[in-house]
Amino acid sequence: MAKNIFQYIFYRILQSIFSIFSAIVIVFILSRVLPGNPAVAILGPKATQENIERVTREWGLDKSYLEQFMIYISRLLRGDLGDSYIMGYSVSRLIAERLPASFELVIVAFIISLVLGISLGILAARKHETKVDLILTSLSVLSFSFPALLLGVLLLLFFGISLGLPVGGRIDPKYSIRIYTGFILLDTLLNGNLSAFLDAFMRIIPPALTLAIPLAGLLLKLSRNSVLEVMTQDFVRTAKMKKLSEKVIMYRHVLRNALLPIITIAGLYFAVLVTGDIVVETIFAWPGLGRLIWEAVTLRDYMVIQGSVLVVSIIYIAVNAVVDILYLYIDPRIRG
Amino acid sequence: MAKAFRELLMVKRVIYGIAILTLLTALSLYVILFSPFEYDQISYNVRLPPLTRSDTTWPYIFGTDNLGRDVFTRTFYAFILDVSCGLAIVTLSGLVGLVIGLISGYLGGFVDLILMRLMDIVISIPGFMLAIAIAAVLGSNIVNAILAVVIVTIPIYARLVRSVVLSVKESLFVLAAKEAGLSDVRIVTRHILPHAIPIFITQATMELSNAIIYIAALSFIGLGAQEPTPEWGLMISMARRYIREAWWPALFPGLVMFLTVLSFNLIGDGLRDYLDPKKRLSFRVLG
Repeated sequence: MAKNIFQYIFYRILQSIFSIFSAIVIVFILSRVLPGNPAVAILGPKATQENIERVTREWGLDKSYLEQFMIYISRLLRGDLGDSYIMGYSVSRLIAERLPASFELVIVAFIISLVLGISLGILAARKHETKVDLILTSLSVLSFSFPALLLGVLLLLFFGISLGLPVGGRIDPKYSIRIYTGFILLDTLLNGNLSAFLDAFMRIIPPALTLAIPLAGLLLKLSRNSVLEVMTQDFVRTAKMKKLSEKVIMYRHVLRNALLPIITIAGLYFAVLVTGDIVVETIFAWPGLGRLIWEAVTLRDYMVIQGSVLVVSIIYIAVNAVVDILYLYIDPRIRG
Repeated sequence: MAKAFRELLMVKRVIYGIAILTLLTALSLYVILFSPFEYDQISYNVRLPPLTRSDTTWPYIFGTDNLGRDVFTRTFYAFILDVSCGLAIVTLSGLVGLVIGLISGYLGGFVDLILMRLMDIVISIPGFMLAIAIAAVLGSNIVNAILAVVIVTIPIYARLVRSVVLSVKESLFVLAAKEAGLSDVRIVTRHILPHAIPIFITQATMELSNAIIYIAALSFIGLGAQEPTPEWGLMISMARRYIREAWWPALFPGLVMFLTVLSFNLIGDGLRDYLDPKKRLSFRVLG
């Protein structure tokens, strides 16, 4: 790549800004093609005339679309996603309250799937063309066909009913926990409350596994193929001829090169996690952003739906940009 | 063609996929033709466990749900509904995406720029999120849900087909066809399209399972099929509320959905490896 690294980063950031702008445009257009008067749609069926006039004024709904868009953008820049008249709070506050729960769940799921997927993938590659490999690769095809709808129900039944463990929600409401970080696993520890931590830990495992298993299957297959491909390359043959130990070759030569494509894929699959997240949070009553979206759909709260869609999109775009830039630092070949 | 098909059947995964699908389709047809229960037939036999005897010729094979409806009958009606929705989505978005990709890749220049930026705008929002936003605006029913999924999946095909067009556009046979004075439409349909078809069909097969998952997930959160329509996502959503009393109304629709998605994935995966000789080698173990 002839382009200088800073130029590349600059273009990548520019591209992300374009994507974020596109997302805003789409959400704006969708909010204006709502059936009937948008103010009534925003306020819900119990809207009073007074409120309708106020919303019309606040969002400039009687002005041209261009002016409406300018008002929309300027409010967004101030972090104002509007108010949920149905849930009775500002949308940004509702989202801010729910985000830590979703982040925590996705992070735990991500760690589980990376550890499980990559280690089993390496195992399958080392046992290439044996029974172990056959079983693992078949399992991987099975696992990424598992819809969150089935896996969630299965794990809910298994953990909740067969094992009788606490399932649903983040923590038993009987524990009163001071919130420092918003991440329940950290907060319970910071409170020094071990039994609360265990309760929270047991509750996060089933939803996290539901998200992690399909992703682990995909990572297994990818890392297996990637390792196999790298193992046939010249520099590995050279390392073997130098009589380096198998361990050194595997970890120093093969893995470093084989894991690169996996990192990008993992970034892309963040979106898949987000999708599964809504279903999983609904099944396990996990009070995160996905559950908020479900509640908003049930209540027909368009402001919350649109605000959440926008926030999730911005996070998604940012994650992908960060992954791309990180990739640059890890792979010396791209850095050039 | 026949030879290619025979060779394809050598890939075991494709056979497994086709076998599962055939079995599920046969069961569904059997249920629709011969089931003594209607999919929306409410009875007093509420939440009976699987294999309970009923007063008809069939037992309640998958048990009954909260309203005493036969879960087996509903699950297989739902198979026909969900697979049809999946096929409708893939056909519609595939065709639109194919046309956009062909035009964009072949004409290039300004048209390409506009069409591809449009596609970029659509994919700036994660697919399922956009589908939710669109379906919420259009209103909750299955047709709107299908439409929403179609819109968000068009770019997948458009970009794929465009990349194939770009890779063959400068080939000698295309240049020769141009030199011979063939019309653009003829060049695209007769000389370029055939190169895009195999990879397009593979992608469409894989997308079929995604489409089914999308439709079920939209219905699950209340933006797709509505009661009493037999649809997997909706059935699971309803059954979730009393899952501690009865597990079967939630589990069986999910299992059949899994088998369906799995079989499309197996076929698509086999197709892809079949078309890519390099991959065919590395996957030899799986068959």
